[in-house]
Parts: sequence; structure tokens; C-alpha cells
Amino acid sequence: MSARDKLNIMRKYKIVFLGDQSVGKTSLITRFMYDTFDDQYAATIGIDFLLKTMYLEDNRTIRLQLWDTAGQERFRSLIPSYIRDSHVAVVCYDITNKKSFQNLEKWINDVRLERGDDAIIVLVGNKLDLKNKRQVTAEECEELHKKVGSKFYIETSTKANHNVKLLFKKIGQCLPDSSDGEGNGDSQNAGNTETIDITVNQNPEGQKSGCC
Amino acid sequence: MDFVDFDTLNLSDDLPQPQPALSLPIATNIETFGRKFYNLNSLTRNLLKRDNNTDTEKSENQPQVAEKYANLSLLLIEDTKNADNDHQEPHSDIKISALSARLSRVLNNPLSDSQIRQIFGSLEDTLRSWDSILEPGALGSMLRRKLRGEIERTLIRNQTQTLKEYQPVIKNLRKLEENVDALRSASMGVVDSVNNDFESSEIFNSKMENLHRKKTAVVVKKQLLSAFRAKFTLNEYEEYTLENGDISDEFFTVLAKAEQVDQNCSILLSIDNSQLGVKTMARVNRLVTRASEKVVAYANRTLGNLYALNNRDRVRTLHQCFVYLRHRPHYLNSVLATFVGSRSKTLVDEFLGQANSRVAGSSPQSEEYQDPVRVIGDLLAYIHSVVVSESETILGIFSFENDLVDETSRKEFGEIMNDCVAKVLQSLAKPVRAKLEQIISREVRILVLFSIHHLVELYYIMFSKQIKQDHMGLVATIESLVESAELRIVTTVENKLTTIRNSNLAQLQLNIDLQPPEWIIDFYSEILPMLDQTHTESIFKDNSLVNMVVDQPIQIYEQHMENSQVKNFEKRDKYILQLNCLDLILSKIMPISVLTDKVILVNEKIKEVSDKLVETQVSSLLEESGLTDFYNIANMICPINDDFFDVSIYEPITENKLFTEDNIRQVNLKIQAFLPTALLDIQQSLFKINSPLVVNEIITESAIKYSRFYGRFQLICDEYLKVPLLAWSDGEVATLLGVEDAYFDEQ
Repeated sequence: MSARDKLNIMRKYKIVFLGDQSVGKTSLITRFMYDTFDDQYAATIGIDFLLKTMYLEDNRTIRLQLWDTAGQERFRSLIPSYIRDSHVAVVCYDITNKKSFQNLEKWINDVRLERGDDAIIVLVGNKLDLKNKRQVTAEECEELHKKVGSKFYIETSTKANHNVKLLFKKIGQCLPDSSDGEGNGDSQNAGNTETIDITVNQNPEGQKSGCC
Repeated sequence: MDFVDFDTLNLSDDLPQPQPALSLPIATNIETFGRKFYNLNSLTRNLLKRDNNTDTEKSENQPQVAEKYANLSLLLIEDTKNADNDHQEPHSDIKISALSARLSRVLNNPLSDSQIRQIFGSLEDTLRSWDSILEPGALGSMLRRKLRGEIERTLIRNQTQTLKEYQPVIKNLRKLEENVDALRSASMGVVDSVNNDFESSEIFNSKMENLHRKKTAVVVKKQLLSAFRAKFTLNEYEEYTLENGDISDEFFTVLAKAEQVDQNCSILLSIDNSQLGVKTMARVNRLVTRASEKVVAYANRTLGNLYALNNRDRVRTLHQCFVYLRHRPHYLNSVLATFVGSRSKTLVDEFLGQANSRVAGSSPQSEEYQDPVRVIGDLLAYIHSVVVSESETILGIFSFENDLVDETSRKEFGEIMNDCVAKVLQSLAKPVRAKLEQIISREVRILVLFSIHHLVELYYIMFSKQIKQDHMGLVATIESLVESAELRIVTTVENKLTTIRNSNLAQLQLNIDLQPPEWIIDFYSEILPMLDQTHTESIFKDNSLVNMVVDQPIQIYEQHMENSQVKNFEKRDKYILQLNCLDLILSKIMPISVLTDKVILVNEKIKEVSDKLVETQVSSLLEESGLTDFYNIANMICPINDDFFDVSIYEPITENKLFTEDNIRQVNLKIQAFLPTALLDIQQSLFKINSPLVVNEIITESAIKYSRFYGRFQLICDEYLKVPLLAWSDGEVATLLGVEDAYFDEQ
């Protein structure tokens, strides 16, 4: 295979979104995928799947398989099987819901149980637009981030479209250059891919993220 | 030049006027000759005109006119002479004619008036003495001769002068003549050569014409051949491209041409010699077939190595292959079948590898055995991932660029794509079903089975959303697995109940302590967590499990009661045992929303048994107080417990021989002895009922019923025996039985 062909190869990465019910996992994905936000809450049934091609600044093209899990208890049994072969676990909490933050450790334990240290863990505090109802401070999240050894943490607002692109950009940068997906003969979609602009609108107001 | 004979001149003194002078265009001609000379064509034309006789005719006509004038002049002279000189001898006709001829020549000359005047002026000078000239003698003759000589000299001089004027012209003309002659000779030469050339050119032309005809034929032939070549043949390069070239845009262009040629060849079959068409067609067909096979091989090769699809050029070429093969369904189907087969095999192998990578087997240590829910969950998650990846892969394969296909083709390929996805995923159906059914069939734990059912049901929902076309494939398999899990749950429950039904130990659990058997507790402790987790009613859609969970345990303990020592128990104990069992079942199923209907049913059953127990209790009270016979007699007359009561209805009781004062007094005594301790006895007899509510209900109801009868019987006695024989009122009886409030409330 020529060097050009090698450049054309699209790595495929599985990203699983975890977190309590109604923390905004689906909204986060919807904002990233379609740049929209729906005020109406609709609980995810089981596990949803979405696909996105992303062009990184280092000329790499990666294909993200986004697995959106249901936060409801009755779907919990499904989730470990999806964590098993994922490269990144985006663990979400609601900054206005202390309980959802407290449950982060449980989600992280699930990831560690399935993937050990192989998976990249990212902490995402959503609903930053509801700052006045904040129950979890960024410092608390930072503390947890240091404690659990996650890759980075970030606070986002899917409603205000804040830090969402930055989150995925950072995830893209953290991803390794090779993917397990290549080895098992999985193919890559070479044609008609959806593309997104990952240029980050620098919004200094309220931006809070950290990376280890 | 002619000269006028002197003699003839004498003959005519009175000459007619001569013809007007003809002006010679000499001077003009000389002046313009040079100019005219340049126009050789005009000259040539003039020369050619010389051949005509027009000039001759003119010259012939002119003498006739001149002769006429001359004759008229002579006749005039003669008449004059005749009139003046009679003595003169008549002239002979010969002389006249000669003179006229001469005159005519003279007069005919185109002389101008001035010239004639000059001529006649010089003549007058010469003819100074007519007499001497006219002398007939020698002198006269000599003078005439002399005159003649002078005239001739003059004439010669004049003529010479005139001629001198013409000398340069003549010279020029001579020169011109030479030139003209040269020109003429040249012209002749040219004409000759032209003639010669004409002849030769005629030959040449005929040759040329032949050649041209040949050339036209050759050109037509060439055009025909070119057209034939363009329409019916491929050049060597194109053939090479088809046979050995890479699959590329050029290849498809050539292939399209070859196909066009093949199509065009059909017209060759209609010509007289169809061999050409047949041969050309066979040749092109062979090339097209080989090229098609190459396209098929390329498509197979590319689809066989999906890693190659990362190369956009290769994907584009593959799409071109698809577009080409679309019109050859057998080839396209073969490619798709190969692709589907290859993908199916890969997926099945990967699935089996994945399934076998878990600790397989039926030993208690295996993961399948320990945590079948997790194993099934992982396998289904893997299948979910495969479904997603495969759909994505095939979508990528069939995502055509806009310039390659139109909307119709895009739609058609969309259908092909969905069909491919369905077929590829369908291949997983059997192994998935086999593996999962194996795990399900091995499982006997109801709760685990229920978890499996729940899991499979969730995956069914997700797969239904993900897979658009299934064709009895994966979604149908998952659906069948849901049914299998359901069936397995039902079967397991059924087996469990059958085991209990046939268990002697279970029968022995029914004993005199009248407590519900242990198996009911065990059974529900196993079933209820499952029912508690049930959020959908799918599993209970045919009510078989609901019926099984509630009805069958009731049937079993009833069956056990009939078959065990319980059948020898008192009726009250049987009812109590029944109530205890029903109460336990009710307490178990009451929190389960899906069993609401059954709760009502069990409640009804409890009510039924309670009523029976109430009846038993009432009978017991009546028995103890000696009122049974009266109760029966009263009921025979009219049901005494009815809401409507009228003493008069019971008048026939007086006819009964038992209805006597003495008997009633004895009954009163019995009642007074029995009732104070009756409540304790009742409570003692019902204390084995587990539900205090039921106990209370039974006691209350039976006491009220008894009190009501007592009160009504007392009224009957008072009415028909006319003596108050029963000491206590019904209220007091109710008080003694501890139900006064309820009794008065009812009243």
C-alpha cells in the first residue's frame, strides 16, 4: 500500500457514553452530530449508535462510532458488553445534579472492570448553561479526575453549544494512531461520509477543562 | 487606282450630284490603332469576321449605286449635248457604258467635297484652253495627251503625296502585319497546341475521370471501411485494453464501445452474407465477455479485501464496475453473491470465534454456566456492533458519487445495498440462534431466564430499529429467541409446578397446623423477583404464565388437600388451610402490577372460602345454642337472612311441633349458658387463620348473621307464642359475640 493510501486509511474508534439518566449524553451526541438541541427529553432505549467522520488537525481522518447508552437502571445490564471493546468512555454527569456526579465512580469502576487501563476515560460535566443551579463545582470534578486518573475533564453545555466540539477535538487528539478495528478485517467507509468542522469557537467565558 | 478617261468625261457635262463622300476612318484608325492593337481579342474577332462576306456585299452594292448615278450623269450630259449641239455625232452605247463604269469608279471614291473641289480646281487650271484640247487634230490629241499626262502627273503627285501619308502607316501596318502574322502563327501554334492539348487533355480528362471515379469509389470504400472499423471493430490498443489493461475509466470507455459494436453487429446479420456479422459479433462478444469477467474478478477482488476500499480511486472504480454490471444482472448477482458469501463466512467465523473465546462448555465452572446473561449480552452486543459495522461497510461500498449514477440507479443500488446487508446479517441468524438457544435451553434458573428474556427483548427492539430489511434474518432470530426465552420460562415454571404437584414432600407439608406449604413460599420467592422486574406484559401476553403462576399453585394445594391427610380434617380446618394458602398467594402477588387481575380472582376465592367458613361458624353457633332446627324451619318458610323480613310470613311455623314454648325455653337456657363463652370458642377455632382481617371478618359476619337470626326468631316467638321466652335481645347477643357496633351499624 502506498503512502498516499496509508494516509487515506480511516481509523475507527468506539466511544461509549456513560452516565446517569438525563445527564445529557444523547444531547451531547446530537449536538456533535447535527449541531441541534432538543428541549424535549426522550429517554434512550437500550443502546443507540451513531457514526461520524472527523478530520483532525494533523491530517488524520478518524471514524468515530458513538455508542449512546441508556441511563435507566433497567438497561444497566446491557452496558458492560459495550464498554468491553470501546476505546474511549465518556462518563457524563449533570453539574446541577450531585447524585449523577457521585455515581461517576460507579461508572468508572464499570469501565475499569471491563477495560482496565486500556480505555481512555473522559469526565464531562454537562448543563453548564444552568450555572445558577450548580451543585458540582469544577474543583470537585478536577479532584475526581486526579483521583480516578481520567484523561481529561471538561464542562460542557449542549444547549448553549459550549465546549462540545472541543470535547471531541480533545478526544480525537488523545486517540492512539492504530485501532483494533483494523485487525479483524473490518472495513472502513471510504465513500459518502459525513464530515464535520471541528474548528473550535474560542469562547473564553465559562470554559473549564483540564487535561492530565 | 482607276483614272477617269478624258473622253468619257466629255460626254457628260451635266453630271448628277455624286454620292456623299464616304469618310475613310484612316486617320482615326491610325490614331487608335495602337490602342486597338492592344486588344488582341478584338482584333482576333475582327480577323475572324473577315471570313464573313459582309464587306464583299457592301463593295458589291456600292458599285451598283455609283453605276446608277454615273448612268444618270451620262444620260444628263447626253441630253444636254443633244439639246445644244445637234451636230455632234451620237455616242455609241459602248462608250457610254465604259465611261459610266469609269465615272462610277471615280464617283464611287469616297472623296470629300474639298478634295473634289481641289481636283476640279486643278483640272480647271490645266484646262485653260478647251478649244485646243478639243481640237480633233494631232495638236488636240497631243494636248489631250499632255493634259492627260499632266492630270496623271498631278494625280500621281497627289496620289504619291497621299500615299506618302500612308507610308508610315503602311510601314507600321507592315510591321504590324509581321506582328500579326507572328501573332497569327503563334495563335495558330497556340491553337494547334491547344488542339493538341485538348486532345491530350481529353485523354487525360477521361483518364482523370476514371481515376476520379476510382478515387471516389476508394474514398467511399475507405469511408465505409472507416465507418465499419469505427462501428464494428476495436483497434489493437482497445483490444489490448480490454484483454490486459487495468480496470480504469479508459477500460470502461473501451468496454462501452465494444458493447456498442456488439449491438451494431446485429445489423450485419441482416445483410446477404451474415458471416461477417457473425464473425465480428463472435469476436467482440468474446472480448466483452472476457472484459466482463475481468470486471467481475476486479469487483470480487476489491470486495474480498475491504481494506482496499480505503482507496478512493479503487472505490470509484468499484462503483464503475457496479454501474457496468447493473445491466448484466447475472454478473452483478454473482458478484453480490460472492461478496455476501464471503462476508457471511467471515462474520460467522468471527462470531463463532467470539463465542468460543468465552469459557465454553457445560461444566459448572464455565462462564456460560455461571453467568449466561453476561455471555448472551456480550454476544448480542458483539452482534449489534457487527450489524452496525456491516451496515456501515456496505453503505460505504454502495455510496456512489453523483456523477456516476442517476437517481433511479441510486435508488436501485440502495435496494441492492439493503438486500446485501439483510443477506449478510441473515447468515448470522442460524449460528446466533443455535448458540443462544443452547445457552437458554441449558438454563433452569427462572430469574436468569427472565434476565435473558429481558435482554433479548431489548436487543430485539434495538435490532428492529437498526435493521431495516430483515427477510426472516437476524431480527426474526432475536424475536424467536425472545419467544424461546419466554417458552423456556414457561416450561421451567411448568416443570417446577409439575415437580411440586407430584412431590410427596409437598403433600406432607399440609398438616394440622393448617399453615400453607413451604413450596408456595419457595415457588413465589423464585418467581416474584422476575415478575417484579417485568415492565412489559409481553411475557404474559397469552396469560399462560399468569395463569400458571396463580392458578396452578391453587390447584396444586387443592389437589394435595384432596390426596393428603387433609381430606380427613374438619371442614373448618380445610377452609382455614385454604384461606391461609390463598392469603399467602394474595400477599405475594398483590404488589405485582401484571397480576392485578389475579389479585381480584384470589380475593374472590378468599371471599368464597370465607363465606363458607362464615356459614360453618353460623352453623356451629346455631348448633351450640340449639337453634339449628328453628333456623332450618324458618328458612324453609322463607329465607330468614333476606333483607326483607315480616313476622307474618313465618306464621306457618306455628304448625311445626317443635315450635313450642318448652322447646324455646330450653333453647333460651342453652343460649344463656353458651353465649358468654362463645366468643372465646370462636376465636379459638379460628386462631389458625393467618390473616387477622379474615378472622375478624369471619367472626363479625358469622356473629352478625347469628344475631340477626336470633333477633328475628325472637320476634317470631313473641308474635306466635305470645310470651317473651328468649331472655336476651339481639343487641345483647351481638354484644356478647363482640359485634354490637357492626350489628347496629348494619341495622
